[in-house]
Amino acid sequence: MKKITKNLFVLSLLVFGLQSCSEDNDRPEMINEEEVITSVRVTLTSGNETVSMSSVDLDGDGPNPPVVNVQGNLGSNKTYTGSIRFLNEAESPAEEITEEVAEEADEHQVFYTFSGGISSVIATDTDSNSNPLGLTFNLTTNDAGNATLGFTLRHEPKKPNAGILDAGGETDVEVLFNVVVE
Amino acid sequence: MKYRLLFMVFLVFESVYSQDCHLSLRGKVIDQHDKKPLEGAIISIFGTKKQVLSNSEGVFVLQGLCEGFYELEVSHLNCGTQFITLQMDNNLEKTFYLEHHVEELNEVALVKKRESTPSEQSLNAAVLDNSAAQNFAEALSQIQGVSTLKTGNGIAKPLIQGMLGSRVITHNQGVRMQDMEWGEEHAPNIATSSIEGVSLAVGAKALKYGSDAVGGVIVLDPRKPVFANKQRHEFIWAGQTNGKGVLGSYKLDKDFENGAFYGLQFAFKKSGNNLNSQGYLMNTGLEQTNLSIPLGWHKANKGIDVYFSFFKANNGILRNAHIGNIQDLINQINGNVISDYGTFNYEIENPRQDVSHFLAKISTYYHIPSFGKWTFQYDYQRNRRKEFDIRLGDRNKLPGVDLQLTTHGFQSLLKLDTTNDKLVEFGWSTDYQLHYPNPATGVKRLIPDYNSLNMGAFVYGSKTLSNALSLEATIRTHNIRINADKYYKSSRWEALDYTEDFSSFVVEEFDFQILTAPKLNFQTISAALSLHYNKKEHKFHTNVQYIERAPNPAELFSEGLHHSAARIELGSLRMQKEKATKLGFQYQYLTDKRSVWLAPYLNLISDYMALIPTGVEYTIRGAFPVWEYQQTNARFTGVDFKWTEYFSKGIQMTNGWSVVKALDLKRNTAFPNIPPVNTHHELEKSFDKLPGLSFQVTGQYHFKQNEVPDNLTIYNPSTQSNQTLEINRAPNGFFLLSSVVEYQFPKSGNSQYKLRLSADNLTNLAYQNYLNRLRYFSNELGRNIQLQLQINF
Repeated sequence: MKKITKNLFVLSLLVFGLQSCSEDNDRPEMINEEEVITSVRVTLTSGNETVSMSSVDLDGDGPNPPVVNVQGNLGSNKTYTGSIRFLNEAESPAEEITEEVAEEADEHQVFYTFSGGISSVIATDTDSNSNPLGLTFNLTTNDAGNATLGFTLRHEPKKPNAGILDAGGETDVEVLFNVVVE
Repeated sequence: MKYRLLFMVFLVFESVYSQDCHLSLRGKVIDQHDKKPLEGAIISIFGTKKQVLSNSEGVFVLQGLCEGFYELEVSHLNCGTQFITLQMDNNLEKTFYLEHHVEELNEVALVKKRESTPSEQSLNAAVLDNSAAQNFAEALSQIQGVSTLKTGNGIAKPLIQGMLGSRVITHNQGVRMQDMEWGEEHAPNIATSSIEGVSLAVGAKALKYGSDAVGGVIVLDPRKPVFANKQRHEFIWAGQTNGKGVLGSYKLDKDFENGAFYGLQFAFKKSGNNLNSQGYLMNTGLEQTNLSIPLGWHKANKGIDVYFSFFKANNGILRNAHIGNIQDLINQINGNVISDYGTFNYEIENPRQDVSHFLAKISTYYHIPSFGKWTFQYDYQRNRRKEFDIRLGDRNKLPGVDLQLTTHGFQSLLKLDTTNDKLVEFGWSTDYQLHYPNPATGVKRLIPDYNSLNMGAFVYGSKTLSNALSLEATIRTHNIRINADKYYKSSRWEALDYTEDFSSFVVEEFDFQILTAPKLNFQTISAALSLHYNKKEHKFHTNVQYIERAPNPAELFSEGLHHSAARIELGSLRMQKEKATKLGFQYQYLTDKRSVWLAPYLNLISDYMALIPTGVEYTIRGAFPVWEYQQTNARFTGVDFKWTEYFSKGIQMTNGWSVVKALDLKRNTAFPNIPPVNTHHELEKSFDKLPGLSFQVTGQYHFKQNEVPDNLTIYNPSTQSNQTLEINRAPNGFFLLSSVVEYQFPKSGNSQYKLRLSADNLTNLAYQNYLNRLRYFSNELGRNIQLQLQINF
């Protein structure tokens, strides 16, 4: 009985010991999510005319919606060469995720959706199997009017595919810009 | 004393097969401790309904026995249970020694006998052996009222009367399992082949096992000593066609006459891509390994138990179920995506779950003469969960979720020496828990770093009021302290209105994140009262309980995108404990020819913590619905019913029904993941002329769940229109047919062979199951034929 009491005493000490340890915690390491895409930057050029657009979501899956910005209007009945970049701008300096996408070109594809004054968007780059990748593209406009231009980056889509609905895979980025064709 | 024993419930109801059956066994039961005869020991023949009690001289006679092999179970109120195997060739006389005062720490043996857990609420070793290849939750669903919530095929959680997760506690070998049970896709870390017996505890007894069990308590039996020099081996091999799965299981039990014992159990399971009626489901293989070692030494007045177990599982998750945003999910649910089927292989790739659980316990008991029995236990658990997602580049090799939960548990129990008509127990427990999410994942922590201290105490009492009536009551209290260290997104911290209310938690603010150290404290008090009334074949149990449950880490701290569900999940630091008042009634009718079980219940829960869709947020990945843990009021009502009729000529028929209805009283809607009404009908036939052979056919029908929450409407900026996400659309009802042929070979020497051929989904039906979280992505498995060989020697 005496022995049991003694054991109990030792164990209680152990319990309280654990409790007191817990009071002065080491601060956990902060995680900066490296692979998060916070920003999509699109540049369209035709001659010396440049239209740029961006969608920036610095809080990722936080409550703030992405901040969308379109600089400049598109000209009617023109062809632009375009490029799209994916960045993590929550890091400093910003991390270029476009490079990783290009390295894994076989497992990625950028899809385009458009309406209104835009008549076509066609990828100009390919992966190692000669399937479209979509980081660079040609965009052609119609007559003047409002237009929408959307980009979807899919990870591990079916390749080749007959378009976004056929492709499957996981959506890494989905952005939409409202643009004016004048 | 004798009367008291008469209304105990016996567990085993199986058909008797006989050939030349005129033999008798005359036995005497002696207390090994003081060599006096034991009155009122129960002697039952395993596998039959035969049982007798010993008289005041400790003598009993079993008549009408056939030639052959028998396993006897000899037990007594104040003693351990002995299993004795006998070869009956002639009439036999035998003396049995029982060790008085030898009681199991958590008294599962007594739960079944004295505390009358009805057989409808438990599974014995024979049933569990037959289910060795199934996962734990599926094996458990053979108990009426238990369903499973699955994530694909390999991951399954038990749902008891519509509840799961933190509302169901699993007591394994006297240890409350701490295996991150809060997640819907977190299966219990238990291998079916490691279990000796399992039961659902209810009412006042259940509350002895722990707090929080608003839904139920699953009790896994610990290993019991046999008090004889004995060595038993069990080997199970199973192979199945679907997934080309194999299971190998080996169990050794070694016992000594002095009450010492040890054992070794090992099982390995592996299967590849499963097949449904359309094709192979990609990445649906699994691998599971477990090892357990029980050992102990039980004496009349003292004893020690030690238990180690290790469990590891690697579960592939259906490749097509991996989605990036809600649009992917909408496309999938609206049928815009054609599911991909692959070829057969055993490879397990991302996405997958890699989980392991280590458990060690030591417990001792000491009987202080004319005072009581005192037990003390220390247990250690380490649970590690890694979830691998599909990621960019080399990060594919890094888990996206890597959590480690370490638990130290101390508990002590004092059972007072009292007269036979009453029982008093006191219990005390302290659990210290440490949660460490590994930052090397490079992904925001799903559950933060935290430590918690949970101190609890209970008092249990039972009293026999008359031959027919007895009463039990438990009262229990807990104090839970949680100290967490969590980085919130600054924008989220503000959006949740934490800035003012929880400013004291803030440690430091960074550019996009804010480090906080929430300190939370919860005090719970729970009570339960059970009333048992017996009249001949009729048994009535009434349980009234009030249970408080403190919020779990997910309910408190979740914050961010849950990739596999394509939704943003938010916990709340404002969460208060939930309070459940349950009234349960169980009626049992039991004769040689018929067994009926009817159990209606009503569970009213205020401040019920539920994950509720509250809106939509837009990110650069697209739109995501936001689900917040909120407190509402809930009403769960239901009834479980089972009826077995034993006809002559070895025919046995069973019909079972389970109905549960759950309503969110504040919002007047249904809850998700509530089992639809289901019924099953079983027909079993055994043969007098060929003992050991039996056939069984089972048909089960699951109705369509008509009570589902509303679907979600999501604005799609690409099409500038609203879309319906039919996430709560319930699939149609389905009828599944399965059958079993089993042959137990006559015993040769010491060894016993059993061969079992079973087939599930005989019609190769293409169907979807409402209780599968991945039902949007594929149909359930097609036909599966399994062959199992069991050898005991």
